[in-house]
Amino acid sequence: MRFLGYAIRRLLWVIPVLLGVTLITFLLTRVLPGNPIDRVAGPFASAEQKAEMMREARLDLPVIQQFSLYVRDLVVHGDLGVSYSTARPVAQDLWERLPISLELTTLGMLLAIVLALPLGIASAVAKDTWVDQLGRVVSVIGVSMPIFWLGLILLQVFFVKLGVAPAPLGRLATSLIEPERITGWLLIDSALVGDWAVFRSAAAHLALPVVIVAFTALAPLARMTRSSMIDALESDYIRTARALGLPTRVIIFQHALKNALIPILTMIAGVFGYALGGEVLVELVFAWPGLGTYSYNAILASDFPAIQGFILLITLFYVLIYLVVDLLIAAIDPRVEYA
Amino acid sequence: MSNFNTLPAAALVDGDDAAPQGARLADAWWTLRHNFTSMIGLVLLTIILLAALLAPLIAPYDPYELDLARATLPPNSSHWFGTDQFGHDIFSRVLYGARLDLLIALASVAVSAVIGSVIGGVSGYVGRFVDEATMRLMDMLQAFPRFIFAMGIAFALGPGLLTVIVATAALNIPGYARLMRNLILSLKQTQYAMSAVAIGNSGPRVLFRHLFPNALAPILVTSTLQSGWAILEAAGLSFIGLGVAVPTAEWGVMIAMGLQEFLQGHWWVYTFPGLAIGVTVLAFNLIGDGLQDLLDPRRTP
Amino acid sequence: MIALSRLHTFRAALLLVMALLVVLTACGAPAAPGEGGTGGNAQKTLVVAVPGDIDTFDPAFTAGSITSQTTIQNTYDQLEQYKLIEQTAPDGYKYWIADTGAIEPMLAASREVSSDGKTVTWKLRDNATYHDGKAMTASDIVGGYKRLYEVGGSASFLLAMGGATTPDAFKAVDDKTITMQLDAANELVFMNNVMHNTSSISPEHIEKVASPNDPLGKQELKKNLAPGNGPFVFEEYKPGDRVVLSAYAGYYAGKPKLDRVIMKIVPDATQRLLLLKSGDVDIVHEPPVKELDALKQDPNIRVLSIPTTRSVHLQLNHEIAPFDNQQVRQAVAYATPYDSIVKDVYKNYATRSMSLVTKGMPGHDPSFWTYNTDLDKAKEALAQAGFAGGAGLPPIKLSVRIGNEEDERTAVLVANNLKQIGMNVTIEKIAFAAFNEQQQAGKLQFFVDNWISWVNDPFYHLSWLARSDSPANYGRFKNARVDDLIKQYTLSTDQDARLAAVKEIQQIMAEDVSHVYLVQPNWNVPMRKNIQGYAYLNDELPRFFYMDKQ
Repeated sequence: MRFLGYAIRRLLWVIPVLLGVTLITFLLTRVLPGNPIDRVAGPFASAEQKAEMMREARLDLPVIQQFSLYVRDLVVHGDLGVSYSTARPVAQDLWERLPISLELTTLGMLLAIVLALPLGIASAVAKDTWVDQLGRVVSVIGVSMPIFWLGLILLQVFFVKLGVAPAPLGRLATSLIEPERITGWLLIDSALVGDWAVFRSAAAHLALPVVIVAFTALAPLARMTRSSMIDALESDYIRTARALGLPTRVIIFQHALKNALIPILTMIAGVFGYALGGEVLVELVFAWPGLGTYSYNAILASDFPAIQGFILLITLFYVLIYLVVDLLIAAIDPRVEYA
Repeated sequence: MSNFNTLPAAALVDGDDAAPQGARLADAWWTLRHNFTSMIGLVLLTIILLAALLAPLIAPYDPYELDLARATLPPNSSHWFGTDQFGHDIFSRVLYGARLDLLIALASVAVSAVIGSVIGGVSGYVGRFVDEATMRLMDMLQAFPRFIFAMGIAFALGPGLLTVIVATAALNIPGYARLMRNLILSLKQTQYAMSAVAIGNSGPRVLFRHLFPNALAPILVTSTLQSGWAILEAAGLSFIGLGVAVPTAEWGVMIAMGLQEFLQGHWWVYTFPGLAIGVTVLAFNLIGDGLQDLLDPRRTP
Repeated sequence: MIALSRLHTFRAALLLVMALLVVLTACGAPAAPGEGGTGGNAQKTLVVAVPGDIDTFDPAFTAGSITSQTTIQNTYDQLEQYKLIEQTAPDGYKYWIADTGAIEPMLAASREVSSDGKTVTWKLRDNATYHDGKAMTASDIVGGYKRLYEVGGSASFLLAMGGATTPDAFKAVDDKTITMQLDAANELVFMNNVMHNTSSISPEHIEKVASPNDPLGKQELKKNLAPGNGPFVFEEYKPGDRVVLSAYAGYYAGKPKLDRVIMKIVPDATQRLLLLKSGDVDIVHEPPVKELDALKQDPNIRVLSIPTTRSVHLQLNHEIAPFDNQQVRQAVAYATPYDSIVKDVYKNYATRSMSLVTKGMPGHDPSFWTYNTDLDKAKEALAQAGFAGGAGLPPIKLSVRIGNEEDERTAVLVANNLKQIGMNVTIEKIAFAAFNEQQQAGKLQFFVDNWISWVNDPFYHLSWLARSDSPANYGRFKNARVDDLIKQYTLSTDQDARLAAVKEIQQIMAEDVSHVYLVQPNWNVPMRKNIQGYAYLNDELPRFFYMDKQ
């Protein structure tokens, strides 16, 4: 019962956060220079036409009124407005691009988790030895490199010099035709319809950007794994377990890891949210037609509805991930107080 | 961008259960000296600082000396890192770039640390409704996609050095506010603070004279890490054209210039400035990583 | 025990990592050449890499997107068109350019002009149809024209410039006869009537998509292309990805040689070139000039380079200090490294420009622009302006658009020379939306700009760039005599007087240093060697009808 109350409170808190984020975005976009209407209208348009377009886009209203209408449309119709630059509903644009970015981020995260957990555990078990130091250096290097630069270097090596990577031109060779969208994930969709040429090409195009996403996500995960494993290993009951003579493998994997899992899980959620929102530079280097590229173009074009929609979506995603993780933790960890 | 880099530090001090004690600067030094990788970071940073300070003495060329006759030369004995498309000497530009990028990092961190600490300090000290409202606002700010937020700010302010500093600083204010608030909350409960109040000191006086100085070490540790990320984010902004403009000797700009040379195989144009960023951020991170133990209340140095 | 378990950990981890890497790298083999191509049938598909996305499908409102314009140009015909003449490039390649002095029938079969020059009568050809099979009548075309006026499209502005000021100027006399009534006889109106903006949508279709709130179908036509009447049929649009056109079998002039055209949207210039090299696309627009020489080394690629009338110039805002001072502008004109810009920025794929009325436009006269790079004279002019050695100058920002590499390089070279005469200039890169706004508001102080007039007429050109009340006079040049001359001669039919006036205007502008004229860049089209029949017109929109693929 207490858990249910906590869950409901936690769920309700999402609403003001999203409203607040939307309001801040609203104010921020209104400060952006560049009247988007001027560009859409072109040099031939008369002053009346521009005024009419301003009216249509509601840009003639006070910001607060624009905001309330925006929220009303969003809540009542699920409408995020129409993009100035693509002339299509923002919700549709985002819906098409979300799986494109998710595929990249998720695979990158999976690779990072697969690498980070062993690295972190090994560092914790062999705390303060050379293994630990090596793990530390490797993961710190991962977060120290500018990822757009890393992208260029990998391309220089694998595309220009060795010729094993495809050109950085998006998700698929242009000669291939994307299968009908089922999930929007090219690997999954092509596998479902058995189009292996598309599958191979999609995987080849994913390889380098996935490695880069993984490389930067590796460090925080490995460090968090290490420190929570150390905490767990030094806790009283593990000491007890050791004293009782349980095998080390059992201690590490069945007891310590289980207890260290909660902070690691939280960290994974956080890193995932950040990675999804911060993928712009990777997407730009690889011409990935995902949300990052979309947001970059939207900002350059002062495309207010597109920017708002994008930020709202990412924030929603971020907040929901944390919500799920928090609830999960609350459900499995009796120590959490539902304060 | 490595946006999520704030997480390790934040996660350790975040949440109400982790209430770090005010650590002293002497502890920081002690920790550093006994940590091999941190020492490496310190040495690297010293070298970079020296390079930045002595750039006019070391650099063989004027970083803005344009000479198209020697454009895009590969590394050789007179141009160690080669030249870019305008014939600028890349080695000299990397050295001068250190000045600019370190300046950006320090200015950005200083701005965010001061503003964030004041917000967090006041919020934590006053408590109750003010605290609740402030922290919820910080929640919202932190829910933004970091780099997009920086791009928006940079675009709104127009390109330039100041813009880069403001945009990267704005990102980190909530982090500092949260850290300082948690520090103050725990420090408030100490005997020391209570007696300061008991002998009749005013609220602001206790906060600024007694509590802030004790929170200095954790703030400094966080700042070390933040400096590295500020450099990465600033370079990212310049890379996509929203930061400092060509032909400024700034590492992000230099990589962007190198991107234009990518297809022609002039790898040196972007490789060296990127390495410079990597090494500098690495230095900050190695130092910060070692110092992080200080932030952890469960461990004594 | 501990060692053993650690080994297990590592082995398990290693296995996982290896498995993942195998998945990634096994798939990482490069795609086999020709993989997934058109598959052996005789279909001719042309793939064009274009920089931008679609912003509208309404011919009345295509202002921003070249991809929108290209789509409409190739799916719609106009009443008349420029005569195309065949050219031969130095390497023997045959291509087409427009003879901008000659206009031919297109949808119309003939044109007649009354003796006072004010009534124009067109007879439509018999065999033209819309893509949905509907036969085309005079009332369809007239209805389309009327809509252009009612929605206030760019075409109505251009037609009004040519003396057809209201929608009532157009009438359908019978099923096949259209008349246009002009306020004054002139030639300009015909030149303003041949571009894709005057594509006319059948009123029946407009009625079908209109709604009470939107009687002119503006919302619907923005999103969906109305049935066209040109050589290609619109087939598919995937936002951010591609536009597909297919040959119209019922086209009155015969089915196009190409079966399909795919316009692949690739915003990054370098990436467009990569696609061309790999053979994934056949032709590329707006390549970075510096890559062209290297591209020519590729045995499969041809680079067609066509001189244009585009002017690239420095705008010095006449209303913002210090450029309100003619001598400061003169100093810039002397300091600018013209030859270096042609050679180092444009790699000789451009020629130096000597007038705003560029070479290739009627009335072009290079003799008034007497400035060559001379830093001593530049310093002198700056000193005479009262800023000896740069002392006392306000801060100067030289602005360029983000993403325009040639402009950026030009700016670096100009700023470098200006520094040598004591003018310290900061380069500022601005995103296009903000750049356009500031430019239109007259807020940019000093910037690299360019312009090409779709209508190759000096008065059309100068109406935009030199009239003090023109919205496109971004440098705020202002001269009463120039204003008078433009007003007086734009619609004049006295060719000699017009040319004399163009000369006088060019002289006034050069003496005032209205702009600093830099280069006339070529229109460069890298393409696979099997692509034939490229056509260049001043609007720079490709005409796929003339093209073929071997």
